[in-house]
Amino acid sequence: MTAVPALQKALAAEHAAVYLYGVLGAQTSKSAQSALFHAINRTYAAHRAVRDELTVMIGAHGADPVAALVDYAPPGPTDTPDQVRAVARTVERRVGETYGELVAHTSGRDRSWAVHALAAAALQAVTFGARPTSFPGL
Amino acid sequence: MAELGAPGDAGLPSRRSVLASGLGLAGLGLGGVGLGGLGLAGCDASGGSSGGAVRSGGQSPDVRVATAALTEVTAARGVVLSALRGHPPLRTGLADLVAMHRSHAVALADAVPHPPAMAVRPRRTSPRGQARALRRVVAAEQHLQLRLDALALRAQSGEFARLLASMAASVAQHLAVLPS
Repeated sequence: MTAVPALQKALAAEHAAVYLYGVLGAQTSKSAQSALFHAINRTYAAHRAVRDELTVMIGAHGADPVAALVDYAPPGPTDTPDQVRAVARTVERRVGETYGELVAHTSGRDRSWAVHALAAAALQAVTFGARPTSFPGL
Repeated sequence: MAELGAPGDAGLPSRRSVLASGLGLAGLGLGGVGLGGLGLAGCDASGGSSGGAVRSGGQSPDVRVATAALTEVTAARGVVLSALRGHPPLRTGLADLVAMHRSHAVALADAVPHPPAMAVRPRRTSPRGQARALRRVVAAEQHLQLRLDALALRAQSGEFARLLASMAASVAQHLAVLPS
């Protein structure tokens, strides 16, 4: 795999993340679960920003960025705050794996960007209750 | 309705398969292949070059990166052990950090011809106050994360870079949950 397919895979994961954080936000009460709601909002905004950066990066490689799908199935139920957190952790784990792959298939500025994106995903997972692991993104 | 990341997920290797296919973290029970399987540049099993130029002193570029990473991990581990020696109540809060350093050191040790001793001697002096000791630990871990980030950029093997980036992300996670 070269840089562009790895970038496209990361963008596909970010499209999914943006969609799913929208779903998680809609499932979370701003008044009853204020901290969770704001964490989801912050993370949603972060994923939107990263998605846009990836779109630019892929364009800079002369490729057409992969489009978002119409919708995405949450990787678990989202009826309770604990379930919302669990889905968020899964989203971050999966996004982090694509960034690990991106690190492996890039160099220079793209790799530097991927290294930081991987750390961001790992930290966001902790925000939603994940225990630190020794090798996130592998 | 698509599953999360559907266009790419099918091609994503699982953590275990990545490890088994190359990362091989010896001693972690996660494949046991050894870091030689990483394809570190210039670090094939026969000691010859497998990609990167072998530089003066006979060490390949990625072996030098691995050596530097192991040195950094060992130094950070020394700071943590020093804090624990001076302040045993920190043991609970720092236990995961100790385990992380151990895992990272084991992952790197295979790639390094003459790894520094795994049994790190704590620094002789430990800050008197517990809060001060913790601040020293935090500073050491922040430094470690920065160094691993930088080393991930220097690595010639993509999979080795991924390992180093993963270790840096792990440090970030552990920093986020350290007791204040």
